[in-house]
Amino acid sequence: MLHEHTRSRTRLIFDQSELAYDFGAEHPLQSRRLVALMDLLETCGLWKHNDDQKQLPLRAATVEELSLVHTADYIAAVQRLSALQEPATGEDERQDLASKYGFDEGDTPALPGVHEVSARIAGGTMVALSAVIGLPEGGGLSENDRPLHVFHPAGGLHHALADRASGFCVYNDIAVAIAHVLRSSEAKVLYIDFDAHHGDGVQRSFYDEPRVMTISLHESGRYLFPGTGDVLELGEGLGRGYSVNVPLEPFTQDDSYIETMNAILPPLVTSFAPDVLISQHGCDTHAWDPLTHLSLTMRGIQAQMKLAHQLAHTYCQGRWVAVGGGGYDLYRVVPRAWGMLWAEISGQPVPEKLPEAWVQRWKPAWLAMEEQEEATQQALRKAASSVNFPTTFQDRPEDFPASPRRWTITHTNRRTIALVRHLLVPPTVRKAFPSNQRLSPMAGIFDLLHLRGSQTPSRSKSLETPAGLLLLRDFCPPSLVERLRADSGLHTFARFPEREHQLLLSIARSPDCALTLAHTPAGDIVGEVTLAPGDDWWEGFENVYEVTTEVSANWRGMGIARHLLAFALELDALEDMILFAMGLSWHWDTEGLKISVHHYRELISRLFASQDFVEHATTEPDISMEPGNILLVRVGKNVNQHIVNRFFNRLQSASDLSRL
Amino acid sequence: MIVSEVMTTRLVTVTPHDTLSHAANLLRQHQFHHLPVVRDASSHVPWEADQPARNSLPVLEGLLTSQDIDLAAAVGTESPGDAEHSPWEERSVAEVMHRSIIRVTPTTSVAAAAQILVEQGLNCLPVVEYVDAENMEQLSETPDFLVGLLTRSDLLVALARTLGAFEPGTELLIPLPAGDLTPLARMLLLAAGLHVKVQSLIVAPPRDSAPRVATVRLGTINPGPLLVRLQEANISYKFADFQPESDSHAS
Repeated sequence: MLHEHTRSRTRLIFDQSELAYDFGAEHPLQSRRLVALMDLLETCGLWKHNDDQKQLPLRAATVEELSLVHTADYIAAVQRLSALQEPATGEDERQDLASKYGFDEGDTPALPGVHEVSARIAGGTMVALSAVIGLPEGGGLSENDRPLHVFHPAGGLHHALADRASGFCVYNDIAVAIAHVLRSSEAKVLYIDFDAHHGDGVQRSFYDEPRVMTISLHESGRYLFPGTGDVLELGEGLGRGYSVNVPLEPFTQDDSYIETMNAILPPLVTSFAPDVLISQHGCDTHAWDPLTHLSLTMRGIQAQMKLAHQLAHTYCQGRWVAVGGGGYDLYRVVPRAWGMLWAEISGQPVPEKLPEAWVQRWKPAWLAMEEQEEATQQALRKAASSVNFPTTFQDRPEDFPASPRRWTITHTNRRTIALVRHLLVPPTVRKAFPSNQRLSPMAGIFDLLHLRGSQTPSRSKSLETPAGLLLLRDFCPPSLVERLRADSGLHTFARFPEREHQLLLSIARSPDCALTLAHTPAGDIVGEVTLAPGDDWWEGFENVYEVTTEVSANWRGMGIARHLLAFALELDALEDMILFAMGLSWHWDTEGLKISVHHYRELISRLFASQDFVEHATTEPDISMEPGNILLVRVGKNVNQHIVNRFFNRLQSASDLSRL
Repeated sequence: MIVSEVMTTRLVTVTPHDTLSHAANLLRQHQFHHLPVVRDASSHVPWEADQPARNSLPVLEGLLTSQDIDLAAAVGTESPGDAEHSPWEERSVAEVMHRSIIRVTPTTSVAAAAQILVEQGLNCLPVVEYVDAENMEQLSETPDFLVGLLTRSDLLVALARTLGAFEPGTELLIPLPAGDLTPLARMLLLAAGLHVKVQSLIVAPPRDSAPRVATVRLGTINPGPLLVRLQEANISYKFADFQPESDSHAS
C-alpha cells in the first residue's frame, strides 16, 4: 500500500541534545537506548545522519508553548530545579519544589538542565506535528517538501500532568503538540497510545475536547501504574465519547492484542474522521520488558505500527506522526521495535537479521544488566526469559510459549472489546465493522424477517417529494450500493459522504444486517434505515433487533424518514419481533438543524411513534448516561409474553457492566 | 477524618420565602438534589465582635430536596381547581421544607456521619455550628449556623481519595496471615529505603472469612526494585496475579 512518493516524504527527528534526557545507570529510562537505535538504523542503512532529506531540525518549545498544557507555576518550578546545580545551594528549596511538583529520586529525578532538554523534546514533537499539517512551526517547507510521516523517537512522554512530573515524564510533548495544533488550525487530531501504561497525561489534557480523540490500549490499571484507564473513563462534557480506554489483561499475548486492536480502532477512527494521527509507540508491551506484564513479541508490536500506518492513509491523507515512549528492555527490544517502526514509516523493508557488528557492540551492555533484569522479571511474575541476545528483528516464536491462562485472558479481553464497542462506537458504524465473535443466526436475515415466505426478496417503491422523485428499496444488495453514491448531506456517522458510502456498503455486505435506502433516480442516497440484531448488551434474545436511521441534511423536513421507516418495517415477522432504536444525543446533528437537543429528541420520538415505538426508561449505560438520550421500543403483538417480560427486565437490570 | 475535611462549603441556598419554581430552577441548573434553606440576610442574628466570621454565616432553617418539589407538583396536578392550593410553582419553600433534620458539626467524625446517612437512609446532612447558649439570652431559640453540606458524593470522593484514586500509582497487595502485621512493616521499611512513596495504605477489617490483606498504593511506575527486595526477604505479595481481573470483580 506504500507509494513511491511517500518514501521521499518521511522524516526523522533526532538531536544529540535529546540524549540528556537520561536518569542515570540505576534508572530504567536511559537514553543509551536511543544511541543503540540510531546505531542500528545507520548500520542497517535505514537512515543516514548526513541525509538532510530524511531529517527535520527541532527547536525547543517556548515557555508560552509549554503553558498550553502546563501551569505557569509548574514550568517555573522545573526551570528553578533545572538551574539549581549543587545540592549544597538551596537544598531545602530543592526538596520543597521537588516534592510539590512530582519529582523524586526514584521515578523522575530533577536533573540539572531538565527544563532545557524536556522543552527540546516537547519542541521536537510539536515541530513534527506542525510539519505534517503544514503549520509554520513545522519548518515552513513547501507543499511538495512537506513530510507526510515524521518519527520522533525521543518523544512520547505521555504521563506528564499539567502541574506535575509523573512516571519519568516532565513535559508532555504529545499534549503540547496537539494543543498547538488545536490553537493554530481547524484539524481534528487522533491520538493512539500503544504504551503498556495508560496515557493518562494526554487524556487529562483533552478530556473535555471533542476535537481530540485519545485512544489508549494498555495493561489494566488494577495493579499497574498509573491505575487509571478504565473503559468508563469516556471524557466529560462535550468531550464525552472522545476518550477511549482499552485495559488489557496482564500477560496478554500477540493474538488477543491484535484481535482487540482490529476490533476497536477501525470503527472508532471511521466515526471520528480525524485529519491527523499521532501515535505513541511505547514498546514496554514486550514480554521481556521489566516494568509491565503485557507479553507481546515483535509480531504484535509490528502489527501496531502497520495498523497505525494504514489508518493514517485511509483516514488522514497520510498525515502521521509517531513518537517513542516507554520501553525498558533497553537493548534487546527498543532498538528493534523502533528500527522496525522507522522502516514501516519510511517504506523500507525490515532486514531479517540484526547486523553482526551492531550485536557485538550492544550485547555487552545487555549482559552487564542481565542478572538484574532477570530478578525483576521474576519479581513481576513474568515467565523467565532464558533467552539470549536476539540476532533477528523478529522474535522466535519458540522463545515465547503460550500462556496456560491464554483462554481466560482472551475471553476477558473480548468482554472489554464488547464493552468499548458498545459504549463508544455508534450503532451504524458498529454494524459496518462486525466483531467476529457473534456469528449470524443459521439463516439469512431476509428469511428470518420473512418467516411466512414473502414473494419479493427486495422491494422497490417510489415516493414523490417536494424536491423530486425518490426510490425506496429494502434489503439492498451490495452491488446496488456500489452503484449509488451518498448525497453530500449524508455525513452524521462518518463525517464525509464518501466514508458514509463505504459504511453503507459494509452494512449491505454484512449477512446480519438489512439495509433500506432512499435514493434519487440519479443515484444519490438521501436516506437509510438499518435493521440488525441487538449487540452484546441484548445477548440471549433472538428476536430483538436494533433500528437506526438517517436522512441527508439536504432532504430534511419532507417526511422522508417517516416514509422510509414505514417502508423498511413492512416485514412479515414484524409482530414477532421486539424492535428498538437508541437516540444518543452526542451523534445528533443539532448544529446543522439549529435546534436544541430537547427538540431533536422530540423529533426522533415522534418519528418512531409513527411506527408504534414507545419511549422506555432503561439502565442501559449509553442511554442513562445523558438525559437527552432516548430508547424507543416496539414490541410485536405475537411476541411471547415471557420474552417480553425478560426484555423489560433487561431494560431495568442493574447496570452491571461487567456482564458484557 | 472529620466532616470539615470532606464537606462541601460553597453552597447554593434558598430562603423560606422563595417560591418552589425558583428552587426547582436552582436544582436543575446546578444538578443538585438538596438545597439548604437559610434565614434571609436581613434577619441575621448579631454576633460577638471577636468572631466576625460567624457574623456572616447563614442561619439554617431547613432542607429542601428535589423529592419535596416533585411531591408538591404531583399533588398540585391532582387537585387543579382547589382554591386552597395555589399552583405548586407559586408555593413557598417554607410550606414543604423539612425543619427537623439531622445535623452534624464540622468535628463529627466522617465514620459517624456515614453511619447516620446509611442508617437513616439519607442522602445529605447539613453541617452546622451551634452557638454557646449563655450568649443567647435575648433569643428565644438558638440558631444553627450553616457551615457546609455533607452529601453521599462527598463521601464517595473522600473514599476515592483515600484509596489513592486521584494519584498515578501502582497497587500492591500484602497478605497478612492471621493478622500479623510484620510483612507490612517490613515492606514499608524496604519502600522507605528505596524512596518509594506510599500514597495510600488500607488494612480493612476482614469480611466473612477472607484473609486480611493490606492494599498499598505506591507512587511509582517502577515497582521492580522493591519487588525484588520483597522476594529476597521472603515477603509474599500479590501484583498482577494469575487470577484474571473478572474473577475478582465477581466477588
